[in-house]
Amino acid sequence: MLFNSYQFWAFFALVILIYRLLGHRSQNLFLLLASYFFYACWDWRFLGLILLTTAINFVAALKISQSDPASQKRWLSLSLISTLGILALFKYANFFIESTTQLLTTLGFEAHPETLAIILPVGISFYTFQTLSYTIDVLRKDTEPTSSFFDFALYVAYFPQLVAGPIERSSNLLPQITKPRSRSADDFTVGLSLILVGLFLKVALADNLAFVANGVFLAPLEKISGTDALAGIYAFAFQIYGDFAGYSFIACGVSRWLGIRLMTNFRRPYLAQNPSDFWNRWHISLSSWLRDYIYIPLGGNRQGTRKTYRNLMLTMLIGGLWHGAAWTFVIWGAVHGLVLCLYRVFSGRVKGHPILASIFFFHLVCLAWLFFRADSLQQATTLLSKILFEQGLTPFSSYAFGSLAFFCLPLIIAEIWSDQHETRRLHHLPWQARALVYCYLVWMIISCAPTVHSDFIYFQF
Amino acid sequence: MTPPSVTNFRQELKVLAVLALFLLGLELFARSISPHLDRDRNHIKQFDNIIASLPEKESGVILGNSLLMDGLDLELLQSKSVLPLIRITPVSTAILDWEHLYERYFHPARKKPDHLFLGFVAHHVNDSEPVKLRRLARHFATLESLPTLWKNEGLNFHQRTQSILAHSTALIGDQPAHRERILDYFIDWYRLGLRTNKDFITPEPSPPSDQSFQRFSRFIEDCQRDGIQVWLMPMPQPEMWELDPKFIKLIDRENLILLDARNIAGITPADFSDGYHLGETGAEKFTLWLASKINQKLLEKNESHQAP
Repeated sequence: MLFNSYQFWAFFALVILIYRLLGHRSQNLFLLLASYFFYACWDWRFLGLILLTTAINFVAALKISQSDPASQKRWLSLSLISTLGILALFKYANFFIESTTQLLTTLGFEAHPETLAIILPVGISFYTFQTLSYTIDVLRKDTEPTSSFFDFALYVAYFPQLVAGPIERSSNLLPQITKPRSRSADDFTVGLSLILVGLFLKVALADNLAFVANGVFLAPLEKISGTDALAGIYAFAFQIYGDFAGYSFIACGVSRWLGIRLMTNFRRPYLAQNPSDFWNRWHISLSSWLRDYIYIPLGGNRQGTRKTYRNLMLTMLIGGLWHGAAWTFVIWGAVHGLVLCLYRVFSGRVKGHPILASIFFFHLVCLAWLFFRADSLQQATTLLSKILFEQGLTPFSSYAFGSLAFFCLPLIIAEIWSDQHETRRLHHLPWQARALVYCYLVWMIISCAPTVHSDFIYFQF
Repeated sequence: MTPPSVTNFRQELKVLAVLALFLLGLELFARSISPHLDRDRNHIKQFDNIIASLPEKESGVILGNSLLMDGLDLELLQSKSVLPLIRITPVSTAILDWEHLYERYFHPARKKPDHLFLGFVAHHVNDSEPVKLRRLARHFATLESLPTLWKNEGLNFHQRTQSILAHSTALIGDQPAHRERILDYFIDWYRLGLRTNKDFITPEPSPPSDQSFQRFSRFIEDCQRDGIQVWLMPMPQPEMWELDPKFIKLIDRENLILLDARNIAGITPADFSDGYHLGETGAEKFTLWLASKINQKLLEKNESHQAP
């Protein structure tokens, strides 16, 4: 049930109608059932996995809050091993088997292990990280454990953000579940603006540019020029932004209509002027998770320069691997880790104009996207070499750059305007201006959507 | 800093009212431009008039797609054939569209044709041809026939909703055509770039697997129910193509007339304008061949009826 499908909106209309008629406790129970139904629409068999993860972490958190420090560590270990074990089995088992086989073959050993026929449960990386953060936060006493299993189950499975985030912290989401929700006059307005922008990003921008990006990455390498490849990477950069940010915006908007405020997951990331700025704008819920539960526990920047670089690299490598079980994702993480390290080395020494800094950094991000999107390392390096040495304008690149301009320019202008001040938001505009913008968004959503709508990229993670 | 307060609900209702009016305006505009979007939609708009022009005496319909829109000289055919003929050839259509088109336009018609000539190449008649849902729902299906379409094609909730919306609104039904025109206007080299893009993405065609012909069978059943003789015309292509053995069996079983145009003497690859459609010279050769075949078959039929 995709956010850009009629099924979802029929489902949501029914949910919100019944939801409004219920009291707080019944609302929670009803939302939980709706969330499980939402997930079961993909594959009901994996509901068992969510229930198992929920039960383990619910018990572990309660025990941690009631135990002495030694027992706390045992309960935390149980939670970490079982929750990450499930993730490792379903997401990484085949990757490790294949990589080990390849390594053994390279070393001259013969190995023919069988890979496992495992389907990746949708959203597993998201709810695993969200659940773990709760248990760790209870240990750190950053959050109070809930004694209601149903409330906790709703925190894990809340349908707007279940399959592709934002990865919510218990300190933000859980109190909104456990305490009665008050309706705000702004909820409808803000929710509508988030949903329309989200649908525009996904349906008009991402799905159209996906076609261009897929063309470049599926084309025989000898048939494309460096300019085509460059256009393809730009197209992918905006595709993945539109796809993922679009999902997050819709999730936040839908949730807002239910009276629950989810965290902001994207904040105009391509206007970032440096890597640190970028990670405060891109997939904020994951980058802050990695910072709080990996980078800082590893020592952060408190143990000297070398260890800071090590911690940065490790965090970004894990971040890369979180996205998918493939070496291209690991390289993507490594590129970002390296860029973060280099930024630490040179920050303060080099000063550039903010616009030039944004343009330069956008291209570094695109370089990382090349490895992220490529089917293999060889494809990534060949495309890179074409970009550097085989530039040449073709009808295809004219079409691809034209598509980028048509779909992205209005967005970029709006983001530059919006980035100037926190109050410059769509829902703060006078109603006449807002109506005009909505007309443009709706026109793009209806008239410029490709015939076939596609899945959200981040479902596979 | 405290964020400024957002507008009230009454203002939001004004926003929604503007949006609703905008959508209404778009829909009216889409309806008004629909017949003028291209030659094909203009042709579709004429269906009722064309079908109404069928004479009371024995007559026939040429049914197909762009293969017969460009590849047949109707005036020449009408002058050479003993049978009065009309032509219904919406582009980019296949058997599922023809099935619904027949039900929508021919079924309620005062006079039905006696003969129906169907021009196609292999993929137009088998069940693996993708459904062009918006176009089918908007221009060829009726609201009453949509549930049958959903059931026969196993459409999901999203597709069912989309087919209803496409049938009811030009904004959704003609959306692919609007999109193409908008992007073609704003983007340089759009059509050529799009074609290259499609070539990059479309995988090499895999050898045909086990083909099925349920759509075709249903269509033939509809025609036979109305007492129409179906003539099948596998169309010429630059390279010879094969008819599926199952399809041949079906032709025999249903007693259909086969006018095999795949290999007409004198048609060469030079007679095709784009490697797929017949050009002017090819159309003339094909038309003359078809007229002679129709005349010959009808003569044989009349003789067999008159024979003691």
